[in-house]
Amino acid sequence: MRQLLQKTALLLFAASILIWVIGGANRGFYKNRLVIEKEEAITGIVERIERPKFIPGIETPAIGIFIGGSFFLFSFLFKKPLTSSN
Amino acid sequence: MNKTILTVLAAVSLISLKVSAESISFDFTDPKGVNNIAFTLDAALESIAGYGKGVSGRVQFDPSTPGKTTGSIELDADSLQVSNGMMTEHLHGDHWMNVSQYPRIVFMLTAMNNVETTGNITTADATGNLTVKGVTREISARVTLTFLKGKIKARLGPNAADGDLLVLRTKFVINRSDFEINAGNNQEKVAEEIEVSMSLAGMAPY
Repeated sequence: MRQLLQKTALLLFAASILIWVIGGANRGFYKNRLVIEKEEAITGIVERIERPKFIPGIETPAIGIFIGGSFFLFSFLFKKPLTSSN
Repeated sequence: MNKTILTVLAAVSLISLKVSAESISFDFTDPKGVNNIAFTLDAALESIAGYGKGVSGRVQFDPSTPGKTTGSIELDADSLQVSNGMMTEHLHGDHWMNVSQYPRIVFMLTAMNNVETTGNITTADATGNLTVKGVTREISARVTLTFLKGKIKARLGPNAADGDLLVLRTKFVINRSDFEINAGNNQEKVAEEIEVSMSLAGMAPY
């Protein structure tokens, strides 16, 4: 049980970091809109077009560390698995 | 005597008409919905970028004397948004922009200095009064005005009325504490300096 919880903790931690990095390692809070900038031909002014898109923020690895850490600490409530010895 | 007075009045009226006819009034309410005013706040922990599309206002511009340009640009505070719905709600709230009590952001142009014109492009130091959250401060910024004669149809399509375009571009920095925008709070995440970028097209149909 201890090993299972520790492996789950490691997985949660790694997954949250990976999601954050793949999402652009945004150091701010999450975004749920993506703004695309496009230059208008005649005037040259910048048009901003919005698309709904989830971009993970710094809270993603923070949640991963918190939940993963909780699992890791919780694992110590269980006995160490027995190992065979000569 | 009466004939002389009438002649003088007619001459004065004609002169006034000629002066007003030279100044073109451009409307910055964009039927295409492209006009926007963007802002960036780059704090130590977070960079926040957003924009507002509720632009309106009028600018009187004379291509032969661009230094005499007058007018104002307004922005609906309610149209301000960032890339996170919850943050946009906070931005509109009482602590930040308080849009229900202060629905308009207004820039009123008072003077144009150091005017330089090359072809259809005029650059100048524009001075005016900026009102945000009911606080009015004088600011100055370098502006570029591009006069595009007879280009409305090219922008809006063949069904639009013909007329001229005036493109206004400027960038300037204001401090949020100057306008009482949650002054002194959350500075690690919301920068004190707000970089404002305007890129707007005004129209004057014939």
